[in-house]
Amino acid sequence: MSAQPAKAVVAEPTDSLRQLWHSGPAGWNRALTRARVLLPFFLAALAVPLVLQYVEDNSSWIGAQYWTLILATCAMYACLAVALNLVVGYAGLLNLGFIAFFGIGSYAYALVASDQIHQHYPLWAAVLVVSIVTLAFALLVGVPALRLRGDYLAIVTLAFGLIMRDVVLELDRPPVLAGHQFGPDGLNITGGTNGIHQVQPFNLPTSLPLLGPVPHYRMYYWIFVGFLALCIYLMLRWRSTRTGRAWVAIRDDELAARAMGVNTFKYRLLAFATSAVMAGIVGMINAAQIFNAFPSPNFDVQTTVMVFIMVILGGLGSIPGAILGAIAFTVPPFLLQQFVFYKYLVISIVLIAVMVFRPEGLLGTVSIRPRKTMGGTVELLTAESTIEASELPAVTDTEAADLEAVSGAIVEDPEWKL
Amino acid sequence: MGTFLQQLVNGLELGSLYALIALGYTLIYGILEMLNFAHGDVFMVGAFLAAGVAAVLVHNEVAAVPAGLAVAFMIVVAMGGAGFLGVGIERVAYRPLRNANRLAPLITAIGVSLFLESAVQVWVSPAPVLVPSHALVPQTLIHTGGIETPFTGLLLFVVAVALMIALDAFVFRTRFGSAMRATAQDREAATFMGIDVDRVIVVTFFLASALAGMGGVLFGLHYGIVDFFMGYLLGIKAFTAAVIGGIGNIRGAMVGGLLLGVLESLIGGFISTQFQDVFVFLGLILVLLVRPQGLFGQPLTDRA
Amino acid sequence: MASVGLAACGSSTTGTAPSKPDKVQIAAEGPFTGDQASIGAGALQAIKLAVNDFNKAGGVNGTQVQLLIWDDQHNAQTAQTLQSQGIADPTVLGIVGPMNSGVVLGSVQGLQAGTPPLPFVSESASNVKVTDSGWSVAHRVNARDDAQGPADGKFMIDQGAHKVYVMDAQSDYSTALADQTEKYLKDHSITTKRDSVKAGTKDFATIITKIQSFGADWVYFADEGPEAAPFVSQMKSHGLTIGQNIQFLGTDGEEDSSIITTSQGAYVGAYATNITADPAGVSGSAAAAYVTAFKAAYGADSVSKAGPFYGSAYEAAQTLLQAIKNSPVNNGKISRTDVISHLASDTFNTIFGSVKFNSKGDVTGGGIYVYQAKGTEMVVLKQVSG
Repeated sequence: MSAQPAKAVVAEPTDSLRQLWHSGPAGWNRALTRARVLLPFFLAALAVPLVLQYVEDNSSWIGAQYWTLILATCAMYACLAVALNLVVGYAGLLNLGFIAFFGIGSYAYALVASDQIHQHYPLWAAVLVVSIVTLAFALLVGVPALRLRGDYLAIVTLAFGLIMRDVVLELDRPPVLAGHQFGPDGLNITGGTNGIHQVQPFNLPTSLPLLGPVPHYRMYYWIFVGFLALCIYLMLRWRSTRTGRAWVAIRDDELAARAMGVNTFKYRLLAFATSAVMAGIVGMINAAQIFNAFPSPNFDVQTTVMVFIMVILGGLGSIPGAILGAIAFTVPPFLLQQFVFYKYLVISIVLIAVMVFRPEGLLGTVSIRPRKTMGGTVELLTAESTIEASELPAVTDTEAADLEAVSGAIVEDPEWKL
Repeated sequence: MGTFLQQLVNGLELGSLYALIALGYTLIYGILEMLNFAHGDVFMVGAFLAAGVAAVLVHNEVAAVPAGLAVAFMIVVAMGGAGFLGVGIERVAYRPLRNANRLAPLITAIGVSLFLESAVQVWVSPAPVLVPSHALVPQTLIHTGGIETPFTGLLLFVVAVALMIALDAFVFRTRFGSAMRATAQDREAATFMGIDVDRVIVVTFFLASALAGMGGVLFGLHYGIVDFFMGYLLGIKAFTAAVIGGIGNIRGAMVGGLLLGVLESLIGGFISTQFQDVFVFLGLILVLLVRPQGLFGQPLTDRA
Repeated sequence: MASVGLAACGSSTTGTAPSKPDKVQIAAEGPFTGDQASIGAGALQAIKLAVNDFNKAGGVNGTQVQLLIWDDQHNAQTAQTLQSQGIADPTVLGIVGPMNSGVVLGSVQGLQAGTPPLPFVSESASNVKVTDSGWSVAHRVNARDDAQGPADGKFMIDQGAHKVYVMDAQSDYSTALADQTEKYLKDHSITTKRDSVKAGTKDFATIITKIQSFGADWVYFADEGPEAAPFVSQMKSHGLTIGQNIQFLGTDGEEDSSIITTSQGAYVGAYATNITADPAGVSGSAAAAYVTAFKAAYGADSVSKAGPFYGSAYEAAQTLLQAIKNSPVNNGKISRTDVISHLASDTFNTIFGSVKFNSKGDVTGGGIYVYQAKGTEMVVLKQVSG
């Protein structure tokens, strides 16, 4: 690759900051996902509850537990947003049934860690079960559905989500179809609308060396933050492998990718399945944290929409964006409890505004903006490829204006109106 | 057998409602190739408009004007209001994204849907709202040949079918209708042919939304009650119907709607009410996998 | 121990040390907004009134009680997060609520595991597991599903039911209750058919046809609210008129006068049972005075909009507040452990008379009340038991 112009400039702080600003979302993402930014961020995140506890112990403020719980919810949604970002932002698949995988993970864990069917598995076995079950469902849906094009995939995944929700709500008794009962009396798999209660948390030490006793809520905050770090690490590693490049290629122009011999189906399925398993494990951690697996919000379409909004606002294709989006939509509702009635109203207005004015969100590297094209396939450009493109001789402004003027004229010439 | 026929009749009435709303989904998909998730909520707003008019005109269960006039007024307000709402939504939320990636208007539509639901919940009523149907339409129960149906159910069916026939005639037999079909077939080519595509799109949205508004009136008169969340499930079922019939295909939407209503009634009546929707959605998935173009649609070309 | 007699709203049966606590808080928890606001909103009004009345009468030895409002929106996870505020704050001494059984069952572990545990008194949670599981924090003033189910069944049998179509609305409350009722009916050789409607359903034609082909003479519908009005309205349009060719028994959420209006009169003649009493229909000056006070505070038509639990919510608040008042104050602090032991042992004076919790946390002598929709009101008929 050609040398970056930045290196030739004297590295003064303001210069490099300005450089960073001008590099646009792709540059910001690159900067934010560097190890020297991520490591301190995660270390700080891990330290937060300890700081809160310290403040609480040394003042009259009480709120360490409350705030740690809010941040744990935040971290959980950040994991979900990163997982959704993988399937929507990287692979361009509109998975409207996304939250069902979270729910499946939570119920799978609950079934092997509670008295619902009297199974109690050790942690490693539970992780295995959750991963396999979620993967199975992901393949069940993905293999047939991923051959369909975009909006149809959306419908199929939506239908899947709705089906799972109904099934989970109904399996607190043996199903009765056409008068026949399928299953013994007293069969209760999912607890119906109540969900599964008394779920055992993970068998973890309740105190750590140097850190002292670790209350339940703090432990789960750390688990979520840790899992978030793991997911991000995996995604970043993947991005620079063949798989990551394949995803970018498919997203940029699927037809071209296929022409180049990329097995688009395989990579889409990989993205779909990975995001599903990630969501499933998040569900598992959630069930262990709150001792319950609930059908709502675990299977609600509204929850998928919430995570979508986080990803969109943060910016499709951007991992830091997904985290920002998660924070933006978990913390304020708690701060503004009395306005909770207006929550969805505000959220929906924000979403529409973002989509209309800045569809790439805050840090998005995937552009879904309208392009003035003359027809044919609409490309999805990534700012990454734009940066590579910027290293080519630039299209001059006058050339671009000419083209626009010409194409504009044909479309808007009043002579042509009916 | 009597019960079977009865459930069939129930299904046709339910299906008429689905068909009316499905028409809207299909019209918009045909023109813009976007799934307008907010359409079910436009229907809901239409129903609320109708309820509002009824509330003004009916006091203590007596209509202040002749019932027929009141209903006519409800229809005008609901259809017009819903129509303009649809046009407004297109202008504000979809037009800026017209040449964007397919994901964009879909996501925006989800936002619009959520907005309409919360707006009505917060600013109109979080609780269900009464529609004083007893004062506006006859409450007779019609018995024929061992089956029975309330008058409003029959009305729902008849009006829906009439509107469908009218729409069909409009789209297939008028000049503007052919402009619509041309735009649906190939938007850029239609522009070259001199069609004002923007206008076609606006009129299409108006028509689709007005039909939904009419659905809202009929709903209010038949069930007597509306609430801010009613568009959600009905919307999903209606677009299931549109997809089964072949999304983008008007006759497909009509048939799909009626078919879905009947299937739902029969499944609910003879297999299970609890798993009714599960079967419906499984059916949807099956159709999409086996025959994605639906019953009446053209086979799809493989496009990303 | 010397008993210091303190003013109006309650009398204590154990002595209290006459010192003043620094800060006393209780929380009201329930679905105050959201899909069950119809039962939550009225309960919140009642709790606010209870706290006001208690404070006017002197509070806890002069300290005013502060009320926290936790809107859990019928969601156990939201409940857990809200409750964690209280668990960590030792001046929060108890919860009035949660109102939904599912929320209780989903959050009680956290309450019980607090150091010290945070007690609650629910005004409406009816699932038997709430008090059968041995949690010391659990209390309720309403009757249980295993009392209401049989009572409902018995009522129908006494009224001459032969074939009952038993329905629920697929919720934590209605499914458990309908199960109990169906069991009672089956045990007494009544033909039943079980079905359910999804929350939010509007079209009931399919299920009404099933009811007709089953030949039911009674429809039992356990529901919390919004489905009842359209359901009975459509029953009527399909030829099933309550009181003429079909009878209807609903449960707590349907003991609600507004359903008569919303169903445009189709609900008239329907019965509904309530696991708590409606103060407007109970004899006794305390209850009547409460109704007057409620109307004075919230408006003349507020009672009909207050849902089925505006009485029991006040009652629950009274028990909690009195237990707190009876608890000793040490260094300006009241301990939750003491509140729990007072809840367990004291007798409380409420608008419905004397109330005492048994060892499980249930109220002994709680009744099920049957109402009937007459004209535009739900009128209390009698008290029943299974």
